[in-house]
Amino acid sequence: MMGNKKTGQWTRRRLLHTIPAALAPVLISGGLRAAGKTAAPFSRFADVAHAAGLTATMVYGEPDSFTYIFESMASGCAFIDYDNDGWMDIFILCGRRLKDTPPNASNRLYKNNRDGTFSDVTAIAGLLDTGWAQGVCVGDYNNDGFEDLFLTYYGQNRLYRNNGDGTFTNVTAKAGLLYPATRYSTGCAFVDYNRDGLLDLFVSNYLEIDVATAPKPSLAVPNCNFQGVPTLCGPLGLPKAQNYLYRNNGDGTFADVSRESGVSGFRGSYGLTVVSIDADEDGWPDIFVVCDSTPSLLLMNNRDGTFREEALFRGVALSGDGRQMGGMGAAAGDYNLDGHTDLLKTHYYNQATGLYRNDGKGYFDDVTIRAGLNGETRFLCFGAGFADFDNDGYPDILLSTGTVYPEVDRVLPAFPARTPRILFRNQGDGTFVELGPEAGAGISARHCSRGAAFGDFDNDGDIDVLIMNVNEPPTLLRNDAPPGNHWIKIRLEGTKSNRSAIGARVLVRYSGKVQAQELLSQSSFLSSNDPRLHFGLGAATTVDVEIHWPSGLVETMKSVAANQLLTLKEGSGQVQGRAFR
Amino acid sequence: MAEFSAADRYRRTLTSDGLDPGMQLIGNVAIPCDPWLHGSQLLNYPRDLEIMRLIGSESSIYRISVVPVRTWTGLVLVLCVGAASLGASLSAAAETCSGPRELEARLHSAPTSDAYELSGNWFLENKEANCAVEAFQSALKIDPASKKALDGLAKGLIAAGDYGTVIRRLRSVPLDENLTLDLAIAYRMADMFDEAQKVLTEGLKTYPNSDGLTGALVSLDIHVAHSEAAQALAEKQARQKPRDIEAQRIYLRTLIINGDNQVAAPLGRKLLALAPHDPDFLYLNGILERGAGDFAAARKHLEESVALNPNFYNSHFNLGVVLEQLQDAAGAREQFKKAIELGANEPEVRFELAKVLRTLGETEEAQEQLKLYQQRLKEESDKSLAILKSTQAEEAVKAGDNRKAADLFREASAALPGNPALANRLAVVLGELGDTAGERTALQQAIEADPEFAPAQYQLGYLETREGDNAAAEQQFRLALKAAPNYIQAWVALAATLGMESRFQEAQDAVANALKIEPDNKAALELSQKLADAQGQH
Repeated sequence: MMGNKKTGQWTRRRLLHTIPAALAPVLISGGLRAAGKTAAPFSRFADVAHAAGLTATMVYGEPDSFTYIFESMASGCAFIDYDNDGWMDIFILCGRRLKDTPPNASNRLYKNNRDGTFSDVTAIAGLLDTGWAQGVCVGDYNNDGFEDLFLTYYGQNRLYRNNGDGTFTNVTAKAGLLYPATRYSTGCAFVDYNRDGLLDLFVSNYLEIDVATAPKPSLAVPNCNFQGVPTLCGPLGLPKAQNYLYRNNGDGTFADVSRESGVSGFRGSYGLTVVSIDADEDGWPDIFVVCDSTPSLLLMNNRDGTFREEALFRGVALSGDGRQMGGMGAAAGDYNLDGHTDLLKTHYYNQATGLYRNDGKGYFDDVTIRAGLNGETRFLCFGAGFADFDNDGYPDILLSTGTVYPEVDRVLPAFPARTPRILFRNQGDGTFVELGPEAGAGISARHCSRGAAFGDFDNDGDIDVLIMNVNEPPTLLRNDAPPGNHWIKIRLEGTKSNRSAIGARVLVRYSGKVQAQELLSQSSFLSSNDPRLHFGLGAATTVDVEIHWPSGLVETMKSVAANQLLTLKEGSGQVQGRAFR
Repeated sequence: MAEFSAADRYRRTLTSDGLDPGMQLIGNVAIPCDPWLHGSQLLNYPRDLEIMRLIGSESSIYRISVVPVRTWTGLVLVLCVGAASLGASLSAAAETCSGPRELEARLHSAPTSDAYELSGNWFLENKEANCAVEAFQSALKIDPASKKALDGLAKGLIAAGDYGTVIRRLRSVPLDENLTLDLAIAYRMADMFDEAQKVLTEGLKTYPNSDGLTGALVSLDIHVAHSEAAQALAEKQARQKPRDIEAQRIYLRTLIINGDNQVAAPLGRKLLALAPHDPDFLYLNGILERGAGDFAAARKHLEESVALNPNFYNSHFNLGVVLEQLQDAAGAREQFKKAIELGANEPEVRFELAKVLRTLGETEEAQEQLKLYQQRLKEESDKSLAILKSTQAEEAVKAGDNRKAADLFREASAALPGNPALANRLAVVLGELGDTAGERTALQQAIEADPEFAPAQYQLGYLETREGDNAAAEQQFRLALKAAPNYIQAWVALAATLGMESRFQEAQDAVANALKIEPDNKAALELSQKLADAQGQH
């Protein structure tokens, strides 16, 4: 029944899967051929959100203008398999209006119906909520086998425990995560910083703002206008906020260890998205905080419960020529297949998205210009992901974009209220080429977007994209990858490590290449990706897999067949996994 | 009774000159000194700092004799602490104004308006602003209708930082193209951007082909972060004047500022082909090529630019970045050090230097540079906070909420405790609230921050007068005048104080100094008459 439904709905996809690769360029409507080395067909993207039932408008601030910065930053989204059925469900964060809250404004949980459609289960799941939600991170903090949710707010953050029965319980207070006054929290990451097998929690804070005293749009106030139009005031001049680290006590509660870990001392930047990777590959998770208008932070793990901040020293705080950037989001991935996790950081207008190549020791080199990303500076970019959309073995890049000044559009068309997605195809030589409408209407369609989550919602072996749109329903970009290439997905279950295996580093070797990926609880813009690590393999039909578990255990598997979801349990190797297809 | 009359007369003197209250703050004590920092604070979010580098060099492009900056009301001095001393040095020069022998001889034999104008122009060229002002004032005495002399006077006053006088002199006279530009510059320097924009827009209606006015308006638009408007205007001008290389240059710069490199790159190449030895075109092509990843071409053009214009630190900085990309860390280090030597104060120069030092294994010095970088960031952050708070404070003042304004000025002043202008504004607001003790403390704080901060000394003198301590008042007014010899209000206040002491001749001398600076100053004329009457009665 489900199969039939899918067959009926995915005619075009089926066609793409059945036609020989050589014929694809002829059959696919024009323009797919990219410049230079990438003449092979690429993925096409279609927005299937409406057909999939993702129809609720994600309210965030007034539709045509914002007064305060917290209205404009909006929020992230997540792929989460909350019911462990093997199909990615969707969670999207919502805001409110400044003066009121529209009746339908709420965060949304959509259950995957396994047929290309979703059902809104927000109320049933106990997740109806309104407020200035910002970021989401997903992880099984109590190791019960079900993914929990932590949400950041301008207001009070929430920890939702997954009850395992399709419902969630707000356990913020019980977990010791309530705080007395309003905070402007943004990024968050579950991270087992002390490697005790329990997911701890890092929370970044953007700035301090009090509506009673905050500056408003004005031509007179510097930083409160843009191109001669009064707009919300940017962060400069507003007090910076502290970041927090909470240690998981193992009994459902957390202890604030911000001070003793040194985290509270790294103030001085406007923190947004948090990405925790093992930058120097020493087996201990480090924390990268994307910062707006100020140097980004890289908190290096001292392996003793404390951190040191070394972003400047390690070359990832600023642009390659030393400029402070308006950082928004970040992706972690191995774009040049050298087995090390590189970082990609999205920025403000007129600032190219930054690509930072990791040398494997945690030192980064800004290769934005060399990689060919420098030419695209038209849009304010938020969400970001490295994903091998066409499964050719080289991770590509997709960015979501949007304005924070919708009112400027009326005066200056050069700064439109709605902007397209940005897609860069990896050319396999360390450079990228930008694709436009030739990659499908879903790429060129214009929205005011924020967070993007990357995952395979239809379990068809390619990476799709969920995007939060401001004051619109979300976008669900279905990827119709070209046929012929192979792939593998890896799902990890920690035993000694945290159950979600967050922080695991996986190396996959294929066709003489090696690609690294790390399991993250947040990236992109305040969002959380499908935890099943997806590797495009090109022509390779088998791979070698090497897993560096957060516990320190390293496991390898040789000659694993491609085109499957591989479920690996720490210490036990491959196990029977969840449903797939 | 007589004493009361004198005090009363004095008070009336202070309020009858028709000046905007804020004008006192923009007397000749303030000159811009750091366009970079102002520029970076304009932005809602940090943008490509290349923009700021471009702005930093615009004076050479638009042939404007002053470095344009944007400041915010009450913050004219924020980034120019210590600049007040310039007035004193100019004053010292004014005591001994002497031009070349032939000009002196000509003035001696035929002191005509033309001769004074020639002399004034010589002083302007030789950066002796006060002497230039004196010469042009003499020319205007002979020929009050001379637009050349008025233009020279305005330029001299702008060079001396006395924008208020320029505005007063020019805002009600018919303006030719040069005077329009002078007035616009004075408005801009005085942080009165709307007025500057209005003057330039009106001027362009009368002189639609004026490169100077167009350049100034484009520059102003960029300065206030209206870069799209700037580009539209520059593009229009460039299309109207396809053979005018300056118009094309302005357009090229706006394209680069707006990140429109696809249009900028071919235009840059075309202009460089037309003027292959123009250091500016070489520089602009270099940064375009750097952005496009063509580091070899960028290196070639930047090296050529540096060779032709070795004192432009932005070229050195960009060349350093390119050399770094080309793995020439030692060469990059040399260029960054040269940029710093030439006055580059931007944090990223320190950062880049630290980076190459680290590559070269000079870790200790690299750490030192990183510390300097972080220190500069902190300074910028403090300035941002101060600018935000002080601007909010000014809005509160406008809304009549002086109590809120005082709180905000306090916050601003706390962020930048070494800034005399903020403390002075706090003093003014506290004075309005009747908090004389607080006003006095704030004024003293301003003077502590800058012992030559004339507005605070002037205001402190006023407080002393109110307290009846004429001796202390006189001392403060004299200190203000030492710091700012063209401070008309201080001359008038000093004259009034001396008058109250019945030291009429000294008072008349002080008034005469005021009238020398501005012959038609109402307050000075009125006081002069009153002093004469009092002297007669006496």
